[in-house]
Amino acid sequence: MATEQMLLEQLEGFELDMKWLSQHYDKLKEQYPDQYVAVLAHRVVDHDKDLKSLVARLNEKYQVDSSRIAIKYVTPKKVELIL
Amino acid sequence: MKIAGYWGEFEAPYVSAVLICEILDLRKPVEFLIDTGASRTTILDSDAVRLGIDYGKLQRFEPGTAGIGGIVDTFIIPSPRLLFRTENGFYKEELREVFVLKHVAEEREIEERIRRLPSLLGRDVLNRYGLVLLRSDQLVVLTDEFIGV
Repeated sequence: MATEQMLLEQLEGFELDMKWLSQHYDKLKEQYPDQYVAVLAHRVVDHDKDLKSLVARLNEKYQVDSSRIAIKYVTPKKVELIL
Repeated sequence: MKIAGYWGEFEAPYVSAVLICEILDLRKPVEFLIDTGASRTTILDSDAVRLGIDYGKLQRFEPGTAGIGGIVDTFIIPSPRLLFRTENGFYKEELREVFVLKHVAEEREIEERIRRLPSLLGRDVLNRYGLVLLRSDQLVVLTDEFIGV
């Protein structure tokens, strides 16, 4: 079982990659339109239109480390978020 | 204690935490939109898939919740914890429950919108903290310290 220290390290890496995804969104939406993009250590490691397929591949390839992989759906279509 | 968040997609404030639930054997990070308009902390569809949440193991919240397209199927993660990073290490927040939404989109356009929806950190957590947001200084802070005004 992961210790709290390990979970915190996962969290820190995940958060950095989520920030990276947001910062590079405009470029990524052109490269991978209407797809889910997976990022590990500031690098796109996989992408797919189907999230379940993507997650299954990441779990198989990265196993425990897949937990900390950041994933975001990127699209050139503009959406205003009003919650 | 201070929990630092950040500004992200949609020019909105976010904070990340590890979602822990023993029943689901779940210990994975989630990015939450800080949403003072949401009454409950809620996992949205894309994160539910990424986290590998099995809806079949969860109790349904019968009233449902209002989501995109009307009332949305809603499930309950019981007794979860959120592990936040702080300036001195970590802080663990124990919750009674977290909602998980499952939209059923019949139109492609709606489905695409749902894919972009982030999970929400709602008032069940936010009401326990002071919240400081200042976009110009890239500042997002949750704190249990006194904020004088």
